[in-house]
Amino acid sequence: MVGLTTTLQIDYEGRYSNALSKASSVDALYCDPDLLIREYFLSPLEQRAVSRKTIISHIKTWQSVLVIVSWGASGKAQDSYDGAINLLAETKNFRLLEFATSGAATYIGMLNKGLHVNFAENCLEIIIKSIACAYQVDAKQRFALLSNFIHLTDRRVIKATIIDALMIISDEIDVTTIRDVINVFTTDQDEYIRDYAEEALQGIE
Amino acid sequence: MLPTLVDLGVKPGSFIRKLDNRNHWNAYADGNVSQVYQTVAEKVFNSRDEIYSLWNVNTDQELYGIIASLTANAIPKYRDIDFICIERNELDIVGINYKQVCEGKCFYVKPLHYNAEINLSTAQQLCHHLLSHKRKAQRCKKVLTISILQYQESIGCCAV
Repeated sequence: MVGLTTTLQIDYEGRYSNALSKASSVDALYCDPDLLIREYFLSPLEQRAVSRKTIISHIKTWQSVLVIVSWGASGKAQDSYDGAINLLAETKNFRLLEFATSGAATYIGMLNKGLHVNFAENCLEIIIKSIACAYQVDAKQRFALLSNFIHLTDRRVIKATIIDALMIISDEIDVTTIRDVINVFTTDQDEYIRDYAEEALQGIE
Repeated sequence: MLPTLVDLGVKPGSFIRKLDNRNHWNAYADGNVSQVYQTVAEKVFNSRDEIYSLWNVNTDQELYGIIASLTANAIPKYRDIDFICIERNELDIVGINYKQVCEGKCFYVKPLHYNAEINLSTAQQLCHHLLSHKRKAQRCKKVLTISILQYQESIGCCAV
C-alpha cells in the first residue's frame, strides 16, 4: 500500500477547499477516510447501504466525524442528511459518538453568532439523531450523550429534534427515564415545544 | 392497525415529498409567511443538484409501498417518516417540471416516483404558496411504520 496524504478542509457550507491530494495508488481509498466518505456520499443510495458498515469501521478521528456531519448538512449529495445519519448510526465505537458530541460546540457557536444558521442547525440535528440511531452502542451511553443537548440551545428545531431522538431510543431503555426527560419540555416557554412534547408523551403511553 | 391516506393527511392524487425533519416545515408554519418562506425553502430544498424525489400516491396500498421504499435503506427501519403533500396543480402553478423516473425497491410503486427540478427561486414560490394555504408537514409515526412494514412483508414486498 502506497502512502497517501490528502488534506481536505471543509468550510461551513460543506465546500471543500485546498484539497491537496498526493495519491499515487489505487489503494488510496483504503488509506484516507475522507476519500471514503466522499465516495460514500457520491454513490447511489442502495450502494451506500451496502458500503456503510465498512466505511464507518475506517473512521477513527473527530475530524472525519465532522466531515461526515458537514456532508450531511451541506445538501451537496442526494439524501445527504439521512446518508450521514445512516453512516454514523452504523458505528460500534462509542468514541465516535463522543467526538460528534464534542463537535456540537462548534455549531452552537455558529448559531449564537448567527452564522450559517441552517447549516449549523442541520449539523446539530444530524449529530443528535445519529447518536439516537447508533443501535450497536449501549443505549444508556447514548442516552447520556443525548442528555448533554437538552439545555444546549433554545432553538425550536433543535429541541424538537432532541424529543424525536429520545423517542427513537424509548424502546431500548427504561421508558420512565425517557418520559421524565420529555416532561421537562412540557413546561418550555415555547408553545410549539410544549405541544410537541405532549404529543411525544402520548406516543409513549 | 394500518393507516389510511386520510389518517396521514394525504389527498389522493397528490405528490408526497419526504422531509429530513418535519420541523423544517412546521416549526416555521406559525410565523408570518412573508418572513419565513425563504427559510423554509432553504431548509427543505437545499440539494445542490436541485433534483428532488416526489411520489405520486392515489391509494392506501401505494402509500404502504412508498413507505417501504423510503425505509428500505434506513437505520432503523422502524422510524417516523416525515413528508409534505403537494398537489399536482400546485407544482404547475409555480412552473415546476417533473418526470417519471422509476426508483425504489418496491416494484409496485417504482413507477410512482418522479424527479422534479426545483431551484431556490421556484422552491420559495412553492413554499410561499403552501404556507399561505396553511399546509403542514405530516408524520407517519413509528408505530404506523411498523404496521405498514409488517404488512408489506406479509405480502412479499421486496423493499422490506
